[in-house]
Amino acid sequence: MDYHWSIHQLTEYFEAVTSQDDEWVAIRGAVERAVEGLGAELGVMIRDDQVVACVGLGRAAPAVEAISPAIHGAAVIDVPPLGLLHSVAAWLDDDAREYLVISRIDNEFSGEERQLLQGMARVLGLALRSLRALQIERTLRTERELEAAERLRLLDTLGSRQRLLESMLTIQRAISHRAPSQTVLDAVTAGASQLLDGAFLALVIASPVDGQHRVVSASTPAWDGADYTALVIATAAQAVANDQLVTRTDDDGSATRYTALAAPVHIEGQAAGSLVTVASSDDANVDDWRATLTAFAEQASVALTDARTVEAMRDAYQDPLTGLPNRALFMDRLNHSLQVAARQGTQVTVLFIDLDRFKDVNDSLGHAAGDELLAWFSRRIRESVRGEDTAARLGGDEFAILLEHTVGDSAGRAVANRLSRALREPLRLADRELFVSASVGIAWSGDGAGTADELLRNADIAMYRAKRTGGGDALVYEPTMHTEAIDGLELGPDLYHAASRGELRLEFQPIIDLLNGAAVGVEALVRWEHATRGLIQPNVFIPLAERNGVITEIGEWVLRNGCTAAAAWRATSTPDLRVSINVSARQLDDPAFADLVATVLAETRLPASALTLEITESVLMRDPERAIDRIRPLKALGVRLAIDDFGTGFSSLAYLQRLPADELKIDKVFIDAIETSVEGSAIVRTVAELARTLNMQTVAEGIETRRQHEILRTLCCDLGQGYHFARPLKAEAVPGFFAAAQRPTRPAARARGNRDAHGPLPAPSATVA
Amino acid sequence: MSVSSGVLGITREEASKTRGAAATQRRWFGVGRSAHPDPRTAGAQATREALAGRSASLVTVFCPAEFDFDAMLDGVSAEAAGVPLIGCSGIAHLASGGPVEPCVVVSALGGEGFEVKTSVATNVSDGQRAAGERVAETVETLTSEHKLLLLLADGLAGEQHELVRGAYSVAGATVPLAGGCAADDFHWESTFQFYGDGDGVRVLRDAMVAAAIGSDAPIGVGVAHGWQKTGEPMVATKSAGGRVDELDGEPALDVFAGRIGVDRSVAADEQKFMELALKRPLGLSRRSGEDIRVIHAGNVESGSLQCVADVPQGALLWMMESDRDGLLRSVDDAYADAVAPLDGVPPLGLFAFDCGARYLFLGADGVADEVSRLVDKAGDVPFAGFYTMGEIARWRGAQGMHHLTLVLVAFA
Repeated sequence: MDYHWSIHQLTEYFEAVTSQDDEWVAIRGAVERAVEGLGAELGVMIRDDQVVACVGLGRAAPAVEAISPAIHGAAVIDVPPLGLLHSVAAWLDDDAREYLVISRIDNEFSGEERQLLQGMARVLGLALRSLRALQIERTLRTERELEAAERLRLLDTLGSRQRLLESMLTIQRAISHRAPSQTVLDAVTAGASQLLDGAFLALVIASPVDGQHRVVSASTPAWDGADYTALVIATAAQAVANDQLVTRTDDDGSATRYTALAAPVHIEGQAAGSLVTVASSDDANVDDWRATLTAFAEQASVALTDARTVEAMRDAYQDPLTGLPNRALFMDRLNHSLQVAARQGTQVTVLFIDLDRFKDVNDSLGHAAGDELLAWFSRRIRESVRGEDTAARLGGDEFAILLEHTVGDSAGRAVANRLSRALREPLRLADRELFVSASVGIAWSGDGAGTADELLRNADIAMYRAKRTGGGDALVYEPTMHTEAIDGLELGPDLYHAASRGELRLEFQPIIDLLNGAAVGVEALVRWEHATRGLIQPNVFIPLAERNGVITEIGEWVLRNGCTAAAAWRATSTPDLRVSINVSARQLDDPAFADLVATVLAETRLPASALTLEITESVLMRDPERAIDRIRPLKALGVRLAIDDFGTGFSSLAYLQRLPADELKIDKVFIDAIETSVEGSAIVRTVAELARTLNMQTVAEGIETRRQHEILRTLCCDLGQGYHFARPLKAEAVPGFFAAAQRPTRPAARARGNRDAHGPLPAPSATVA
Repeated sequence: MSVSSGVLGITREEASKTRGAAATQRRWFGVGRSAHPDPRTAGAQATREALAGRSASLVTVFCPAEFDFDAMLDGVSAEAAGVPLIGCSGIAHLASGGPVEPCVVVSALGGEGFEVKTSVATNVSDGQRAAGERVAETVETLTSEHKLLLLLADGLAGEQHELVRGAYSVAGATVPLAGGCAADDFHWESTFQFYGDGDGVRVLRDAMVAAAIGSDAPIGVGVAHGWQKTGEPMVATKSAGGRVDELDGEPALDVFAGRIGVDRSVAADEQKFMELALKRPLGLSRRSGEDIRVIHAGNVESGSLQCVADVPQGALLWMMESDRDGLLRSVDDAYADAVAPLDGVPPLGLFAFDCGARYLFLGADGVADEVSRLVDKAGDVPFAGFYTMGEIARWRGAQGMHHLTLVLVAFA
């Protein structure tokens, strides 16, 4: 039998750490023994970003900046004079103020070692909590004689330590004597129950097959015969999901209310179940149990990592052909990694791998050869990843790799490169030499994917795209791929009917005069409320609509509805309001577009001067001569023209001069930069000056802060829009916004050369930030 | 075959020796020993041989526990006046040239490539950790690129791990630790440490002496034990310090006697039990393998076992076993590890710290074989050391206290 050395170190550690009665000695001893137990050279305890204890640098202490990357998930840190060290960190308590960081020169830390350290840190946290309580008791004693009850509590504190130790020894003996797994599990719940004054204790494990939480061992029947299984299961599931201790009180209206306390239990580092206790809600002990339950859960975690238990769990989680984790386990780990990453501010990368031409091998050489190929391929994947990465077979010829603590897409690319190199060696299969290739899609959590399903789907999409290029390639996911992927599926047809089904609606973002804060107009923005998929972002469906031509219908719908709304507001409340409508390349290309605009203006009775058509710089500059031709009849109608996203295309000054445009809309990327760099504000100033020279107004997009507003005002930018003033508003909210914005914050004090070109200023209004 | 060198008119072998001598002038290491019946003469002879007319930076002295130390150290001082000295009593010595008992073994090292600072802590049993901290302070004054803290401590001072923890807490991970615990020929009564700082040499008990050695060339440390675990594991369900009261909830002596197939009454005969138990130590489960604990006594009344070093309550233990070949193989392993950091340069000299229980286990012939094995490995490289009551070696990691183990230190 394979004994895990770490299982048995925690009890020793507990004994060593909790036998001290001085906090400093306990901390020093705890750090030393953690260093020794993990075969490390350096151990550091950090409290509130300060190094409070250090072993391994003599009497010097490291700079906290050198150590803190480990807390944030760095696997390697640089600590002079020792240099680069493999590191692992664990927090002592849930409030994450105190950390234990262990570093060593040789070998990165395994999952088992990380788990052991987490257990050690919890034990230390518990010991320090007891010591601090004891210290308070002692302080009280020096002031006055202890009351009998207090003395009893003191004794109880000491007694619980002994009981915890005895429980740990019982579990350890059960493991060392190869007791059946159930005996070990029962020892865990019995031990924990004994510690918590005989309270009901249940060990709940999430089934690897269906993810359902089930009680695998319970200490005693409920003390009052009540059935609170639902509460136990719900609390356990929550503890696993949050990967931290949770408290939950049932509130079903019955006379007795119960509080459940659940601490997550980890198997090989992953939250796999919970240790749950239940008490009557008015039981004063519940709060005191938190630290003990957490520490004991860590001990149980280490015990459950015992080889046989893991084996039993593994059967349900493992792909039998390749020995790799299966999809269920992969998704479980991915979910957990995303939660940890969110907490630690790190990222997670997923590689979706598909064997190229696997079907050909299967069909021509038979299933046995296919299986052999899959097993061979899984070994190449294993060789391409680090010990802590998760490689899984999702099914068929699909594999996936999970990389934790990554930044950007470089880690994913590196693994893909290693895999590609590993595949250069040919495979001898059924007396043939085969060269195997795979298509790889890479996606990382920083790229907009929020859930495990989204991340895997993104990687799948990128893989699909790589496959389309002929295979053997690795591609990093980009949102446009998503659009393309959906295009081929179901969104495309739906988009044709979006307008007729009433799924499109408009929102309006106010445009503000930056000088006096008055609202002068709105930009109409289209939204698609899909019947089954919910709100679909414009960056998803607009490119799709442009490709399949629906943009013409959508554009007409926007034009008609935008003008109708603006005309209504002008007639009822805001006579000077202007509306800006985006025009796509296809619309501009359509010779009938000017006629359409004229018709809509006539139908809606909106003055042409109240309509601004926004055309992106890149569309205009694709074929400037043609664009100028198309714009001319529009200008003849009297509508205004804005060059949208200015700065992202490559404008030729010569053409810019010839374009009969009225506004330059400066892209958000430049606005973002004005607060942080001199170059950023210089660019905006140059654009503003250019616009003034060409007799155009400037509109700054994406203003998010008051400071940006102020800077833009000093840079002589005319108009602006962005969250600083208002998010896009539903149509019904627009009159209210304009009504509230009636007076300017200050009178116009700056002469503008191009003011006359745009008609009178709107009525004075107040800035709404 | 000798081949003449046209330029210098000397043979290639002679040229090689000349280069070797020049290269080692910057650092040198010598070992001398003497079994002369007169202790003073023995001390002087061994020292003279080690020095070979050179001026040393450090002298180490190892001799049996029953010896006229004062006379012997007078002889040493007469030859190496004013040279810093550390040393201790051992169960037996280890030196180039094979075993001759009883014997004084002196090593000396010097040359401008070495720097040495010695230190001493007394009343160690009052605070093992503090003693370790105190003697390690000297490493902070070393300026050389390569460093080693050589430690010799009273083997009966208790809590040996704390000695090393204290030293590590000051020396840190950049300085390897090596050495051994002084012994007294299995009487478990008194061991002796020697300390000379230029103003005479003191004979101490309950002390720890140390030499912080700096060198401009690499220093390597190798450790190997040659034992393997056998049978089912046990949990130390009740223990304190080195005393093990219960294994798996049963009296420890009963469990131990049952495992090795003897009656518990064997513990009544101290000598017999010790000889038996030394060959069946306990191993603690550790990341790097097993941490070995020597059992040296059993108490028939209480049913407890007494080990040389602490057995933590809750520890998982195995019975360990070995054989002559296994123990001798550890010489090869320790030597390979010790010379590995020397970048292929043959060592100038070695320190060897070997467990006294291995000495008993091997017997006279086995010890002779062990020394021969080391000579086979090291060739004419001089070495000095002794059979200890606990070996110290920290190269990687933070743990440095060992038992039933061979430790070799190699100087480039």
